[in-house]
Amino acid sequence: MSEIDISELKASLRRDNEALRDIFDACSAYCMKSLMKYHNCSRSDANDLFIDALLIFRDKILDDQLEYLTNPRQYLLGVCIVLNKKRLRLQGNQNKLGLVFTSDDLVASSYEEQVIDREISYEQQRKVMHSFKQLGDACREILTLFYVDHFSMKEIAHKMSFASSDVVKTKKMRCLKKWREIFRENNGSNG
Amino acid sequence: MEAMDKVEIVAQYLAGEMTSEEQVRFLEELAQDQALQEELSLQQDFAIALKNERNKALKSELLAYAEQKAGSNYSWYYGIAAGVSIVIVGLMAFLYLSGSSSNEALFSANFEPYPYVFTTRLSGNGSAASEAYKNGDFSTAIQLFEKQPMSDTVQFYLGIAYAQTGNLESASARLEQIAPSSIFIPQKNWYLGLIYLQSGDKEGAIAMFSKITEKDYKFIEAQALLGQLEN
Repeated sequence: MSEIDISELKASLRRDNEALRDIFDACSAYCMKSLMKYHNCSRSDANDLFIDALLIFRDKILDDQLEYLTNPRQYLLGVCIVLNKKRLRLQGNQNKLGLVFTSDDLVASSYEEQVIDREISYEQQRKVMHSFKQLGDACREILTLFYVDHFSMKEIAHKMSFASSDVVKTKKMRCLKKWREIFRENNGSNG
Repeated sequence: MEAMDKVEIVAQYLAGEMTSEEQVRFLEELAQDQALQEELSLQQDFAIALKNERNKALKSELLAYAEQKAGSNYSWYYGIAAGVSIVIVGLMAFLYLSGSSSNEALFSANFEPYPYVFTTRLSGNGSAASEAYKNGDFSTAIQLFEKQPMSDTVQFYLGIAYAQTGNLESASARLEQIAPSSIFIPQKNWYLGLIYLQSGDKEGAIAMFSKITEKDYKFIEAQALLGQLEN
């Protein structure tokens, strides 16, 4: 079996969401069928798990956390199974403790373990985004291109018509510091 | 470090723009500097929150897409499909064609030498053995490790070195001798599973990969391989 060209896949995923939909088309039926047949999932659960797995897969490709890939369908199924086990465990805990988890809790919890291995509370998420939305359009775009889309300074310069990557680097740092300042103001020094 | 410097230094660290020496210095400073730890935590939260926000939007889009696909009218889909670029079509053809695999391909796609993180002091020519392993000279590493007293860690690195040189029999023999209490058990399960796979022992491989639990080394990869082997 040949390996998938990860750099080509990464470029496609960064370009637009068409590649993501194509992967959805190629892999969803297989993964959902397996989840429903062998892992006791309803169609709705299987659909939800598959989409979460697809987003984890996307993050792993964009974050350069996947060095090789021979079979995306099987890889996605592996992630779906992990998420399903997590879901069942949380549901078990919920039943035992009488606690109520939302579906977002399940997703966030899965992300913590599989992708970012670091916790961020909903409260912190809200605070970060509230401050982020107070930045100007250009700052929001630069920071999003850099932190979410993993564009290089050169690519950002080209996309946003800046003179050079050095200009972007300086601008990006100013934007980050501006966000930090707003965040501190909004939330106090312990934000 | 000045307050403003910390912001830039942490950003540089998170963007992977530091040399390995700078990283070491940064991590040493991080261990002692609470303000630096707070800055790192804040910038990590920032990056994660941005990514979460994007994923939330993408999830809504994909859920809507799934709903549309499940509906009876697919005509819009063909319109979109016609517009998909040649690169994407080629890529997806590749994805479809990658549906089957041989054990050998799975082994070579997944096997890579475990990084050398040996902290126990070795006797005699132990440092030469570790240097050889680190430099990828696995034949020399085997000769030198074989002269060391056999601890679990020596057995583990010997097993990896043997596998790397293609001597799977000695590799599995070494890995199988690692005690159940060893810290290398999850890694052993992963590598032994790959070695069994390469040797054609599918059941043995499945048994090894099944032992890798959620918190263990290579859990996702093991689940993916199990998916490939069991279906």
